[in-house]
Amino acid sequence: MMWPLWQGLSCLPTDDVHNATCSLGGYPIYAVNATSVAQIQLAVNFARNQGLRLVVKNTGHDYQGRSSGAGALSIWTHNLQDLDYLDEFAMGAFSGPALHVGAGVVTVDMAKMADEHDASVVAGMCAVCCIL
Amino acid sequence: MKLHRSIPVIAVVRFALAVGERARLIDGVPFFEYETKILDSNPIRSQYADLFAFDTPGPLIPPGECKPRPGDSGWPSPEIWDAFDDALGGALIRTVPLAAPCYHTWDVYDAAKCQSILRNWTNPSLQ
Repeated sequence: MMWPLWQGLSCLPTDDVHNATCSLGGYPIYAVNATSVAQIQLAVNFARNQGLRLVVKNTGHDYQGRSSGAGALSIWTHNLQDLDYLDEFAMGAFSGPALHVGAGVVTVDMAKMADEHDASVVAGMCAVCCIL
Repeated sequence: MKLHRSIPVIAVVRFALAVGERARLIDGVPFFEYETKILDSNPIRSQYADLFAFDTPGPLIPPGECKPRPGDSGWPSPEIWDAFDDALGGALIRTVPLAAPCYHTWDVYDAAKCQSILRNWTNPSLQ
């Protein structure tokens, strides 16, 4: 998370365990390590049918802490790392090169792949963040 | 991996998800491997089928009330969480706070690890 406040500082490392407690705070109770669309579908359906709070975490850069949540089930998309360069892609009015990007791919990896093909990609300034 | 106590053999219902193979191409672009593994709309015949059903509204939570938290009557039982983990192929992670090795309440107490975490607490690479 970008700001520890959203987690609640509820479990800090300490030498003095008798005067401190450790609770989950704003961390989700469970997370799904998503490596397929089927798992994401299962998680969304499960959360809806059980009435659970559902959050999604990629690299966790949300400044408002929305990548986490107390009492939540989290879908963790970081491991969806597939990345492909498409020489010719057409959709609607667009025609040209494109990147096919998994949710967990970070900006610097997209930039490197684009650079290898003498192309540019518009992405955020944060090298280790994702665009999705 | 089972996160809770073992489900008695009698009660275990192994169900196979009807995980379908999607067509390989969209707009001329092949799907990534992970994009081809999807659930069919009517997947599961087992006691746990309702957990994963599509097109359901879910429980109605009256205005002013919260979604269930651990300890609430609406929180899924350990058996349900295990069934979910089973359906996911073991992909369910039970969150343990990063500094938990410093405490005796999380079953991961480790004095040496605690010291390492304490020293590196402000290091952004700490995992």
